Amino acid sequence: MNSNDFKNRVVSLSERIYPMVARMLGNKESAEDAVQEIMIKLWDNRRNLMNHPNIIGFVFLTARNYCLDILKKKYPGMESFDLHYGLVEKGINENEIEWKELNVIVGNILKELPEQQREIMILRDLDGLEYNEISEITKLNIEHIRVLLSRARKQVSIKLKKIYSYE
Amino acid sequence: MEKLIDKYLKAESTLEEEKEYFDEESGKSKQDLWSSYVKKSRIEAPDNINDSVWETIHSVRKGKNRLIYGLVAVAASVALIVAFSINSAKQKNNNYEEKAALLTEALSMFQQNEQKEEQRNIIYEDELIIIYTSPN
Repeated sequence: MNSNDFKNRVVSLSERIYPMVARMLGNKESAEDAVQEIMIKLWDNRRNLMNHPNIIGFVFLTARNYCLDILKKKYPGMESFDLHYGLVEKGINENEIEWKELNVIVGNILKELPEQQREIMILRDLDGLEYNEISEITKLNIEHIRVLLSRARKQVSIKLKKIYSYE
Repeated sequence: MEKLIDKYLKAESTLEEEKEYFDEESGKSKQDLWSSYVKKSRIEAPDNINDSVWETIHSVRKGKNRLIYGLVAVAASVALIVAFSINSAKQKNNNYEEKAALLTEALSMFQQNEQKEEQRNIIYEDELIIIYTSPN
C-alpha cells in the first residue's frame, strides 16, 4: 500500500473512528492524540493491512484494542463493561439534573443487557459503525448482528418506557 | 416517523436513516429517551482531523528518513575509518619486512667479515698494531 492509498483508504477513517475512541477514553483531548497513534501503528503495519479483506473493519478493531490497552494499563482490574462503555473518565460536565439522571439510568440498562447485545448497540448507535465494521470487531455475521441489535434496541426502549412511565 | 421507528427497532434502517431518527424531535413519544441520549452523547470528530493525522504521519516518516540517513552516514564514516586503519597496518607490516630484510643483509656482511677474520695469518701483533696476511 503506497502512501496515497494509505491516505485515501485508511487516514480518511480518522473522523469515523474518533467518536468511538473519544467515548472509550472519555476524553476528547486525548482522543485526538490516540487517533494519531492508532494511524501511526496502522502505517507501520501497512504491508499486512493491504491484504486484509475488511480494511475498514480492521481499522476499527485496531482502534478499539488500542483504547482497551490504554484503559487496562491505567485502571487495572476495571470491569470490562466500564472499559468498553467508557464510563471511567466520562465526567459529565452538564449541570442538568435530568441529563445526569438519564446517564445513570441508561448506564444501568446497558449493563443489564447481554454483553454482545450491549456492545453492538453502542457501536452502532453511539459510534455510528456499519454492520460489516461491527462484524470485524465482534466476529459475528451481519444477520446475527441485526438480530442481536434488534433485541437490544427493543429491550432498551421497553425498559426506558417502564422507568419513565412511573414519573 | 412510525415506519422509521419500526425499521430502527428491527435493525433494518441504514446509518443515514438512524441519524435522521436520532435528530428528529417531532413525532416521537416523550419516553423515547434512548434517542435523546444518543443525540446528546454522540461525539463529532474535529473538522480537519483527517488532514492533521496525515500531517503527523508525514512528519514521523520524515523523522524516520532523517534517522536512516544519519545512521547510513555514521556507518559510512566507520567503514572509512576501518578501511584506513587496515591499510596503515599493512603499510607498517611492509615496513617491518623491509627493515628485517635490510638487517639480514647487513648481518650476512658481518658473517663474511668474521670468516675473513678467521682466515687471517697473523705475522706480528702487539698493543698498537696487527700485521697479518690473508688469502683474499
